[in-house]
Amino acid sequence: MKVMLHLEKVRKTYGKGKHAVKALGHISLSIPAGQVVGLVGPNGAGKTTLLKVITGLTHPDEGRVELFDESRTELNRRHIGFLPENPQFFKNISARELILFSLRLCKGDCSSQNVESLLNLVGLLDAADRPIRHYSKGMKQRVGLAQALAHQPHFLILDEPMSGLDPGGRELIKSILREYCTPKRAILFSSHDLGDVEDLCSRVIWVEGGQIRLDAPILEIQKQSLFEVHWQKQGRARSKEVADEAELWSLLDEIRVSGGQILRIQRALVKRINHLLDIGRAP
Amino acid sequence: MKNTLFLFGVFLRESIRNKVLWFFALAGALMILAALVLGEMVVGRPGKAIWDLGLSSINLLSLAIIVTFGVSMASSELEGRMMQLLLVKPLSRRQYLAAIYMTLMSLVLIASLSMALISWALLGFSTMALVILAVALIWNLLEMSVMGAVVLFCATLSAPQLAMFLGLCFYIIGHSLSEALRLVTVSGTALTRGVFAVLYFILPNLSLFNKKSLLASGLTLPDLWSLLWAGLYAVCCVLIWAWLAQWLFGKKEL
Repeated sequence: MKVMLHLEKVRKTYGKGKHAVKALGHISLSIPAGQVVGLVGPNGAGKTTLLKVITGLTHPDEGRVELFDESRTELNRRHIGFLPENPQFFKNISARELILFSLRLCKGDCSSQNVESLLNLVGLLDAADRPIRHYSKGMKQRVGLAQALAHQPHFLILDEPMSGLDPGGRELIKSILREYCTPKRAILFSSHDLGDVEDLCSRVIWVEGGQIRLDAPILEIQKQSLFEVHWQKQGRARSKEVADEAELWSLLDEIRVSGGQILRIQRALVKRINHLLDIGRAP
Repeated sequence: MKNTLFLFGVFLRESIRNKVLWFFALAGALMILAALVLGEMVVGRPGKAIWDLGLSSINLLSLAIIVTFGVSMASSELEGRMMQLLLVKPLSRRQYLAAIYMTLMSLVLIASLSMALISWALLGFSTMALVILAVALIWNLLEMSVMGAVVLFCATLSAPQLAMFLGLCFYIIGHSLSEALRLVTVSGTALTRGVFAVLYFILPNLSLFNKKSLLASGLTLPDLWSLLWAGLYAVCCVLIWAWLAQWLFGKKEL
């Protein structure tokens, strides 16, 4: 299977001396084709720096970055699609012009049919000729995704693609990404929303303090804890984690019979990740 | 090269759509009109005053365009996120700067040509005026080609406001460097003579391109050799400052 990305002992520090901040500390990882990888972690964990190092926007102090089994070059950057966090565009350009420009730079299919289908895909066909400066945040995010996808890259890198989107916009982007990932392509995206990660990813990488703290298939994480149920009984809030669906149904029955009121049921991914991290931290 | 040209096309279209450029164009037209009115009020040689003010207006408008647009396009603080979108595509940082430089030169060419045409029309389409304006345009373009590279260097070196300030400093110092060196050679100490001699060779000497007074007097046109020499000097300056700009830009964290 083709390796889309290979990082070896990548280190990055911002500043010097007393004010030096370690953004990445000897990170090594590989992403083969066919995977959708979610990069998660708290603010300042090093997610954006990692994505910038991969795309070449930031230079690592040490380490090697390989794309498609070779060193990163201008040529193999043609097969990357990138959406930065809160993307900004030329003020007066329209979505149609931006996509066409993106296709020309990456030597993609510049036919008007292709441009129209991309605009249609992200739901911007009606606003295609309006200057992007008049777009809402969600529309900007979608046009950003369209320019990243335009040339059908093998490897898609997205920095917080769902940030600031309404539920409809999130679902649209999720469905585009689900459809986009084929066995010959890979997606790496950072997110704060573990629900999105759970919905889309086949693998989760948890970054904290510039280090990879956890790198595991999502199924493995989910297997250990699936749901967290919150309910109220006699004015007291309670919660419990359950490991599988059968246990969940029996707990729900139990709550109902005892007169409790179910407040919410949520996936317990954060807790599970924290639990796994605690295991990792333990001496 | 193809990608540089694509980007140049987009930059140029964006700049032409930018209201600031039209504001500059309006200011330029007003400056020429002011030159005509003020020139008539001058006692002595009104013709020279009109030409002096008119040619200075073209030069100042070109400078305003170079500094404003150069800094806004090349500064990562202003256009950082746009740069991120572009520089992950098969486009090198050198190509990106080259596209900005080509845009700046095109904008200066369009603006100064338009102002020259207005001036020519106001001066009654005379052949003499056409010759003087054409020569002035060539010298102005040479000067702005150097300033374009210097502004790119300033924009990649520092924050936008400081870059604009530095660009203007380079312009002012560049125009007064020869005079200052002449002055310290006569009356300065060995140290100041040394310092100015070093500065003279490091900083671009823009006074070399300043032929406004000569052209305004209408007595003589600069000879071909001085033009060739200035052209060669401009090419060397552009190569050095553009190389420095791309070196700094290549190291920049976006």
